[in-house]
Amino acid sequence: MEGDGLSVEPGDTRAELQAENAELRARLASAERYTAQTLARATRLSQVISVIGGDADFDTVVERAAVEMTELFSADVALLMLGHDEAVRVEGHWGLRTHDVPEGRFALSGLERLTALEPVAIGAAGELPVPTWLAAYDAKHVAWIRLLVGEESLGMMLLVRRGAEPFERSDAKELRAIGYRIALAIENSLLHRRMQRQLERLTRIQEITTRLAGMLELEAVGECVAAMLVAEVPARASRVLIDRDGELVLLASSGDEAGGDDAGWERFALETPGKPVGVVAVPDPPTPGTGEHELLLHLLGIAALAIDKALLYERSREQARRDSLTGLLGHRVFHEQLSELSAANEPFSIALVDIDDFKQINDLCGHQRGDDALRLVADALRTSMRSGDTVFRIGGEEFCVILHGLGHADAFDVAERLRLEVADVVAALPLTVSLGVASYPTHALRREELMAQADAALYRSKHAGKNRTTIAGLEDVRADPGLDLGSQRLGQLVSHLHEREPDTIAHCAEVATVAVEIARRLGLDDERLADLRTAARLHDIGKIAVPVEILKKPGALTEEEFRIVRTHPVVGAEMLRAWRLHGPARFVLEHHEHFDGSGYPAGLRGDEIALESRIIHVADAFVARTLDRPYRRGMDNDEATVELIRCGGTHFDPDVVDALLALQHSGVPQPV
Amino acid sequence: MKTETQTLDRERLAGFGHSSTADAETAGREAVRMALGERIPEAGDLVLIFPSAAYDLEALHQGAMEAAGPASVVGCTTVGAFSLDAQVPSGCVAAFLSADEASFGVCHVERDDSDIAGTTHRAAELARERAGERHPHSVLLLLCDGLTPDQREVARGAYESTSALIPLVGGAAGDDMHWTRTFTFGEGRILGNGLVTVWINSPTPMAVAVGHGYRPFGKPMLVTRAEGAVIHELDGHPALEAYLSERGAALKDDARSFGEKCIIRPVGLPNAHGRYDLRQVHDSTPSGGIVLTTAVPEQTVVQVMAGDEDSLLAGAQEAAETALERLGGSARRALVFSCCARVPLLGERLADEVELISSTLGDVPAGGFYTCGEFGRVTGSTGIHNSTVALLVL
Repeated sequence: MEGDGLSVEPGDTRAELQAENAELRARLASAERYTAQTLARATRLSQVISVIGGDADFDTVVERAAVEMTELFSADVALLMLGHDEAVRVEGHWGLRTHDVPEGRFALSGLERLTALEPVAIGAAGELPVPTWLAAYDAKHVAWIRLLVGEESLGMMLLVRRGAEPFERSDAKELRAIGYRIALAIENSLLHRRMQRQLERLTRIQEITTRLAGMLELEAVGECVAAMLVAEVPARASRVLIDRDGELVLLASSGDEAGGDDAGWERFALETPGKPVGVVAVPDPPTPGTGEHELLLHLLGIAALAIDKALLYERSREQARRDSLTGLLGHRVFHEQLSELSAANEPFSIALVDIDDFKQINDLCGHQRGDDALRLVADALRTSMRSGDTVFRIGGEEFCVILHGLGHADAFDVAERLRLEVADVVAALPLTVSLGVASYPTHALRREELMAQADAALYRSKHAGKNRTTIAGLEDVRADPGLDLGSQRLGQLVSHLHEREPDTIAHCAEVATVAVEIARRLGLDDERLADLRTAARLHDIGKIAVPVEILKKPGALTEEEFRIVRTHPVVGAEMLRAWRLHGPARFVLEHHEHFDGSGYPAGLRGDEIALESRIIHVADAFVARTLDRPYRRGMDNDEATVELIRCGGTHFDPDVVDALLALQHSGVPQPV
Repeated sequence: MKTETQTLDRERLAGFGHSSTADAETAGREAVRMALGERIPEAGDLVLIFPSAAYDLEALHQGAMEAAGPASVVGCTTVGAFSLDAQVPSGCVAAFLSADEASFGVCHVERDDSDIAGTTHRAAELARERAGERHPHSVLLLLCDGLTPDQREVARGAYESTSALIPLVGGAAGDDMHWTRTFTFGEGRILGNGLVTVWINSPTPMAVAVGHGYRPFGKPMLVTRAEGAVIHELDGHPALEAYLSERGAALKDDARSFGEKCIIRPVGLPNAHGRYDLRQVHDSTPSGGIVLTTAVPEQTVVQVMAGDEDSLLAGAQEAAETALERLGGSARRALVFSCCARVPLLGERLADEVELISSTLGDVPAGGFYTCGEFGRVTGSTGIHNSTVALLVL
């Protein structure tokens, strides 16, 4: 027993037994301790697998791995540092305060050699490296475990013990096996995270694609594409350029560096099958062969299709703005620009241009020659007008040139030059034009009034013998002074009515357009067309005498209110007669008479009603039915025509309705 | 050998008091006054109260706070408390800790069950801020609701603040073994699902240690199916059946709850140091599972554990010896967090535990309460214990 370090007197049986008992207790305690250690070690691997294997989320895996490893190996600190040894980052930790953990990546030196043969190294701190930023934790023993998936290293795990008890050799073998398992769980969670991110990215791309598919405006598409490249590739910046007549033009850009020079930027073609659309430029694009590069190419395909569609839409819209025969901008664009110029309060003039005796050209030489004449005049106007001015075809043989920044005197000179250029055109028949010039703000402040002034001036050019230019309101033209006075008053009245009833003025302008087309179809000559146009534009001028409360009343009118409204043709006709517009006065007076005699104010029927009045009646009804009203949505053109056909022979002259129908088929009358 | 100066110093720095008076306010006031003795409390001092949950706690708390004056009052309800002078199964024990050169930072918060670790972490950080960082030695003292769903989460959250550098100690509140609702005190309020954190900074070393004295009794069993704190299967068998077959005696058919009947036979989880971390079997499930106070991962080995008066006292002594060793000098005062499961096993020798601890530490003032879960971590574990005695020696 002495050899065991116990001091017992020979013969002292009680003492011997006590000592033996103590020895046995110590041995039992030691055996229990050994058993507990063995049991703990026996199940550590499976515990780790159980804990980290149940979750695919990366953050949870690394956090749980750190916690469990600390507890199972009685460590104080656990760190999971992932990446190459030259640039690892702490992704999971236990036992450290967060502000003690380095942010970003840092290098682990000396470990590659240490774990070259055996992925686990255990030993005392100092014998094995300890990161300097762990100095405050007073590490006594450390275990470095390389996290391997096959031959690939995902990074390192570090366990630190602050107590005296070292890691044992048997720990190393176990740590090696656990390291493999943790690495596998991390790899799986990274894969899961990549898949989740890809799924999220695909969802976002699908949303962007859907949004792009619904976009038509080129600039909006460009901005969406540029932003998509920065957000999804991801690129630091991006530029989208499109092909405009062989030249690349910047459409949109995104990112902080988008405004800098493009040194180091790489360009990628935007192509739909067989057709270049433009290019995309990005700085430091992804390396070919990588997933990011594949994504970039995929996004470029989506972008090319979206931009191509937007370009097509832009072309279609531009075509819709232009007259297909002459290539000039059309009636709708003209009125839009006129409104914008009026609102801008800058001086400008308009020159209404009408081909003289155009009906004769059509009748004598055929419609082909008529079309040729239209093209020749259009070309002459286009080539001889000033740079910056715009010419429109606003009716059958009627054009208008907007002369920017010109007062009436200069505008007259330009208009005369245009007239002479047309007169010099070599054609099958001599081509001449008559012009009426009106200036903003000299002659009128409102679009409708300005048009009425120019129209009146054109009317006087026609009356004066054609092939000439007349300025609105000037006495030097061969015209009746009273007419000119009336023209000025007319402009004032139109202006006044515009203030009260802006919709009525717009409506009248549309009615005039449709009425003139119908009349032309019915073969009316220029002179009658001019009177018709005047009458149509002014057919509701008599409403100036109707109280605005009645005109804007939302509900049904009383009988008395109807009676007042029905006075407007008579009032309007009297006003025109006062301005010596006798022809238009009659047309206005009769424009609410019905073909079957049920109309007002006189109850005329059939041919008793002037043809121009019957035309205005049909045009008025057609335009009115296609307009949206506060109480109902407007019909489309076909529905309106059917409605007019239904009333043909009762309210309307069936021949006039037929003419409208024919125009409908040829696609001419389009209310503004 | 204790010198007279040491004795005076210890009496100046700490005192324990108790009261079993039925009137709550009086009980609180009496216990604190006794703990204070002749000392006049100052701002920065700490008073801990450990009352029975059966009291009118508002009144008791009020009485204690009045007596404590400017000192901070923290504490929790218990299944019994003690000092060297008395075992108090249904009264109130109070402890006075003079700040002296130390500082106490107190925080008392309501637990967020969806983020227990986060709640604890934030409370610990607040306590740390309030304590300041004037001294080289620190300990985090935790008192939590005994019905906290997973006390391991409390330790995990605390560890985010303490890291491996700062020891952790404390206990979970009780309610006279009713397991209905426990309460914590701090910052002038009482919470039914609360958490108290006290960050202690001290110019002199402090030590934390744990010990239990239980030994393996049954054969090792593998947790083959578990979910959180519920073990469904052991060695592939229903866990309740396996546990009962290993505990050595059938449960008596009496009025006690399942948890109370199992209290003397915890299960042990062997650790890498060759020791056993104990877990109480708190309840059973209708499907034959057993419910512990903390989560246990699958593939863990568990063994039914047993102990007697001698072994449990030896465990307490071992804890005191370890604390003294860690302290590296003489102890001046001790807070003891002893598991309520030890009470029936210690029986008539219950008072011996705190006396043994005190004498081992050099006859220091000592006291504490019987806990429903203990915190005690210095190195190499998560710091969650059952059936264990945890010590804070200052």
